[in-house]
Amino acid sequence: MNNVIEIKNLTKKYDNFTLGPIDLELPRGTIIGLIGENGAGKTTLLKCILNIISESSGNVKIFNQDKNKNFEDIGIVLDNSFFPEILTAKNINSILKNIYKNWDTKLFNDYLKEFAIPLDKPLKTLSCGMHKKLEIITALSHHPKLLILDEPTSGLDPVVRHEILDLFMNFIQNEENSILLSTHITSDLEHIADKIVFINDGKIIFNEDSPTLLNNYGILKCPKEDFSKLDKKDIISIKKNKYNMDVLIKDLVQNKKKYKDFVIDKITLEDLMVLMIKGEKIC
Amino acid sequence: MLGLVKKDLLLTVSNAKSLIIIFVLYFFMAFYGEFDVSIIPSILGVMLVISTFSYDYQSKWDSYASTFPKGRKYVPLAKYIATFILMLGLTIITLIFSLLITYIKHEPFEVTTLLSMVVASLASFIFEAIMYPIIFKFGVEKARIAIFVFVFAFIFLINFLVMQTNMLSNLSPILTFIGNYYYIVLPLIGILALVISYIISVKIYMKKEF
Repeated sequence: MNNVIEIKNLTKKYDNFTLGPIDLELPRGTIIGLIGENGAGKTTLLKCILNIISESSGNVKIFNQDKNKNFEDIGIVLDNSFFPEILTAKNINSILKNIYKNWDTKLFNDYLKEFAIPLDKPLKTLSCGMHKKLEIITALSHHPKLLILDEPTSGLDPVVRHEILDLFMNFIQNEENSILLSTHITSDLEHIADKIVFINDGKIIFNEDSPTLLNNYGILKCPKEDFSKLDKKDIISIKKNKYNMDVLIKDLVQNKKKYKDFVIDKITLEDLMVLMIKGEKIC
Repeated sequence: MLGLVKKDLLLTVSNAKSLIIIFVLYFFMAFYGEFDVSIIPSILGVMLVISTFSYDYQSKWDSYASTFPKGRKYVPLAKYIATFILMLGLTIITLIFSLLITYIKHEPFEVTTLLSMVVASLASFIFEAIMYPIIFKFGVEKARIAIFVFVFAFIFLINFLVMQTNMLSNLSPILTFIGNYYYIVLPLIGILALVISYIISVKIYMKKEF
């Protein structure tokens, strides 16, 4: 069993939005990053996986079992959903040691020290960054094998974000642990994700290996008057700027040879996301 | 599940500052005979339990808690157990207060005070038994309106039945029986109400989406 999560034909229907059908696999030892704009369906997908909401159809297996059977080995960070704000980190330890069999008080306290999070202060007095860090170390302190994280680095400054990303990288070092995370901060995924899954309007637009993805797509910059020189079949979408155009192209290596007179930049996930969603389609 | 019970009790303890103020206020009112000490546990119990629901709502606790091992079915159970422990604790504290008042005032302690305290607590159990499924269904904010409508409809219905039918005279043997054996009947009604309420709450909670 190499897949930690297996999702088949998952759909979730609301009156004004439908997620799916989604097919997705999270192989053991890998990090998958979910990207997409607000309301694309990332959180809905994660909530379906975690049984917080029920799917309209389809099937989700975690550790090769029905999804609601084994939450012991999953560490979770949800967007804006945690312990009541008048509780303290000390309270959280006291509560969770009676909930998770593998809860590790020493590890939790070590993390608190490492990230300078006070033990006795109510959560409401912590800064946004500290609060998020506490959520993450809480998710890590029962030695999970899988992390499911919804926007785990939002609200964190770049330094802390890198500390957190290092934590995630350490977490998967044993090649047994896996992470599924959604984020708006796409640059984080460029550092750590093995695979990128792009969701738009409830559908998976692509699901590709991160390095392949970043090496495969490019942005061709061309003056508006030169646009007609481009072969339409090479163009995925365009964005018109004041003086030139950004053209999203695939097959970067081949197209670099084909369009030697144009500047073609490597793409970032953010550019890719913007051009996929907001870019004008040619055909 | 113990962890979930602990969470509600810790929430209550964290709220202790306001709890102590209210307790002292009630204590003085009871001391000067302005307030029946026996209803303190039931009033405070309901207030404190509602406040745990409010804290849960503010932090979207239910989403988080429903991802804990063994699933979400223990979340309602923990709430009922925490309520029971809370009520028991408040009854004991109030009893100590009550003894203290009688000691200071050099009055004999009336056993009826203890009995009415137990009866008041059980009445609040019945109220909570009605309230919890409504809160689990609609959330604490919407439940306030739902509870108001429910209580109003309940009073209206009882009033209608009493005025328009011979229900009261038909029920008088039962009411006499309850009056004579209230210390047995009321706890049984309270416990039964909580059990039925719990079964309904779990069914609601298992289907709920957060």
